[in-house]
Amino acid sequence: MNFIDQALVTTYLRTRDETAFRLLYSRHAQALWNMAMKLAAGNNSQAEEMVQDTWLRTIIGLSSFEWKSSLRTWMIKILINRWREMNRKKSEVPLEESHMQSHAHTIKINDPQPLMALLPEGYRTVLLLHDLEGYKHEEIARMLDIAPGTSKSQLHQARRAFRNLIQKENI
Amino acid sequence: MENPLTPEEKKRLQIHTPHERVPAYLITKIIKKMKQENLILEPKPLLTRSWSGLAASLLLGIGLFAAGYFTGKPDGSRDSMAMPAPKASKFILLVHNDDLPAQDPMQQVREYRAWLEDIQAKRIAGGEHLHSSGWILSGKNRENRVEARPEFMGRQELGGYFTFEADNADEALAIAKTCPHLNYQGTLELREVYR
Repeated sequence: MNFIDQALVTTYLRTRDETAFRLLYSRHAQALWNMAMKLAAGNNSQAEEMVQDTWLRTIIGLSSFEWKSSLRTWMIKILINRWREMNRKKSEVPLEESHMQSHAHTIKINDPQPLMALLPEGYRTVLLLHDLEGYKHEEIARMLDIAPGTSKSQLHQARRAFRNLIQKENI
Repeated sequence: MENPLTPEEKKRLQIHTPHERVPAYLITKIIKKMKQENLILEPKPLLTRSWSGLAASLLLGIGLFAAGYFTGKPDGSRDSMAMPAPKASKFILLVHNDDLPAQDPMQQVREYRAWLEDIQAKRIAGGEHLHSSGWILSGKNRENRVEARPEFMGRQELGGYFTFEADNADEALAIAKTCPHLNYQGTLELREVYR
């Protein structure tokens, strides 16, 4: 039932009222934060930037949102796009800096926490949406603009890649 | 297909504690930014507000009240003068999350509320709306009995429920058929409660 979100969005769009926004925020803030923290591999400041930008983009795009998915699904999609943009920017950093980052990753392989950060972007996204967040392939497909079958095969490869990582770590 | 992750593997994948709260200051930052971008307007004094602004504020109030239509009237909240026959059976109407988005959500909310009030005029009736997130508990895997779900929004997921009394299944079915959820192509599940 989307109608509570719809009622709040309608009210917000008519009034640009802070209260309406706060109510909308309270319904989705935690889920967005959880997702951002996982995508950002626990990097607080990156997660914060992602969530803030996601809210602004959501609010700007609200009037053209057609409710073909739930508001939450749409917001997660925006969040993932924002994260991808940030990753693209990261990959454009000068070679020396980039080398330092990859060295840092090598060091961290013995740390149990950042395994997620070592997975390629596509694998990480599907693995976390499906296996940690519990979304179905149809929902993931909508979020990532891919076919549900692609989501399934990505998950298969992501699990394999993740297990290889763990194995490497145990050697 | 690669086997699903084991609970131990899931733990390795987790970056932070699943229940870590969103920083409280974040909303203040976002609202400040939204005000700078004119996405949130400063409230005007009541007397200088336009009629449409006032109407919108009222709609918000109505909407929030109506959004709580499920929760506002628990079973047995009616006055005792209108109690049904003691032998009535109790039914639960499970509301699935698969309804089509309404053109006018406020109208949809009003329809649900009017429907429930109509039943409450004759019968004990109530209902509750469920949060979209929650947990799945399973007895199958002893090591992984609880799984957090960020959103129960799929076709078969439960969005809320109504309970009401009826003399028999035919009457309950007749009541259920009038539920506005069906007007939005949503699915309802009617079950009788053991007594």
